Amino acid sequence: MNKFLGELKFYLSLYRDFVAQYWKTRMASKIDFFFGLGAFLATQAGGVPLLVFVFRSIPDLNGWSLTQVLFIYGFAQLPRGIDHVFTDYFWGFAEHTIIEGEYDRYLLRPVSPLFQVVAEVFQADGLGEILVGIIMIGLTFGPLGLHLSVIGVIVFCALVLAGAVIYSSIKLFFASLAFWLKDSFPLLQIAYNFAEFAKYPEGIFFRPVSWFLTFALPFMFTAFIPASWFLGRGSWPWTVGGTLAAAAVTASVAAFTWKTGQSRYDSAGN
Amino acid sequence: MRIIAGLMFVFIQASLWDAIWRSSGTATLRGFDRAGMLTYVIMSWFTFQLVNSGVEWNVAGEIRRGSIAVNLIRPARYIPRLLAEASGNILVNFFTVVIPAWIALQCILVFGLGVHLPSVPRILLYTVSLCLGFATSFLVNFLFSLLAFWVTYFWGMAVFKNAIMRLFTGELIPLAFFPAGTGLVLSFLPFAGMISTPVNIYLGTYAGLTAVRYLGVQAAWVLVLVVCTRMAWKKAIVKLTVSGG
Repeated sequence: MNKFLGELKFYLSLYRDFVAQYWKTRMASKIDFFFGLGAFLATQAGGVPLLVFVFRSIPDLNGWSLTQVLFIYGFAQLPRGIDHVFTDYFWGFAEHTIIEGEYDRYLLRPVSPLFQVVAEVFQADGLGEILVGIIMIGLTFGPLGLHLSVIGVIVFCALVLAGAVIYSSIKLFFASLAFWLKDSFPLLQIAYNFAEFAKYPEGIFFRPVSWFLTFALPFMFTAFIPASWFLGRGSWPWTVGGTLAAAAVTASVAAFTWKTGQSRYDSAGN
Repeated sequence: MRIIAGLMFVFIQASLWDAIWRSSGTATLRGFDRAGMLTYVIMSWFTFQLVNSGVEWNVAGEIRRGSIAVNLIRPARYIPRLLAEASGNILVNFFTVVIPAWIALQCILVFGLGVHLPSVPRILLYTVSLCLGFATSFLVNFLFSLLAFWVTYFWGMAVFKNAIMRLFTGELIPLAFFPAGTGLVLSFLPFAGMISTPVNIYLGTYAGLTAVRYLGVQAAWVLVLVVCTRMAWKKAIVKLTVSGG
């Protein structure tokens, strides 16, 4: 136990140092910082007028009101944003780390290579998404008449974190494929794009689509399914339990894929 | 692989709009019936694929790496070379991805929903509008890419621009869904010419004189953008010499 805590402390302080270095380069241009944040804020906030305009023509969407849909949409932003902040370098890994032989550098240092990949970037752009999420949940919370007890707050945080784990795991899985494919960026991009659909009520999609998004690429567990629990829909074993289980399963699959890929890594050579 | 991904996207998008249409409980929603709505989704994807060349990434990348300097002294003029590159990219994408996916989708529309293909004159009008849309998109994105001379984090700006464009071009949602005044104004902006105008011509929402008028608007914007591009290019070139020392 003590050994584990010591290691944790070591990695946390190392992470702090990595991030501090990264921020020095990042803050070289403050305008860029706000542009990145604004970009993701705008991308996600752009979906709001869509919903508002559409709801001017329809009373409800498959039994979901505008406020409920906006709550789900807002909830969806939190796991997405958190994952974006911490694991943004998976994109770079999928694209060039293997193919350009950069992975060798990680192997030379006495810390976990996966940790080093994660610590490459602390992506402030993701804060834009988190901001959209907080604002939208804040705005819809009152009108929906939601109350959260202490337990509710704990469950909320747990589900958001589980959602972030699902995002990161799916990204890590597709990034790990680079060990075999050398460049898995296009696959990662296709998979990630499917997350766009998790922020709408599940019932509106054709059956195969919602199954696909629940069991194959379980993005539904990052937004619609956990959010619906707070809206009083769905039983807790499915919404709360299912989300936590999905996080555990995706994380194990991703970790296994990463380990397998790592063991068959072969340097680009010279 | 990309064909399947493309198909999946249109499919999911279509099911979203289908649910919206079913929830409305009316036969037509803002002038679109069910088939019209699904055709809009398919054709807006189709048009986007043929209009969007991604020229801004090429230019911004060259500016960042500095290879633009080498390309400028080559014996081919810069902008025409880009234009050739962009059309080449689109043509390859057209034959390898867009056409197979589109034929599959069209089969669903025609055999599944009994939608008739538009008449030949309408397809011709659509083609003209599509070409103007390509020109508009090329010029707007090229102008945008010149910002890379001044801004280092071009990627963030491009994401920002795309977010705005998806709304204004009618890619995300038909302009008819916007509040009446806003929708009308947007339909006369250059952005609408990239997706909204061609698709509406294809659907027959813009027919006869209306269609001709919107084609005129597109053509006018192309002219305006050509003039702007020339002026901006001259300015940007000077900036390049300055930063090169």
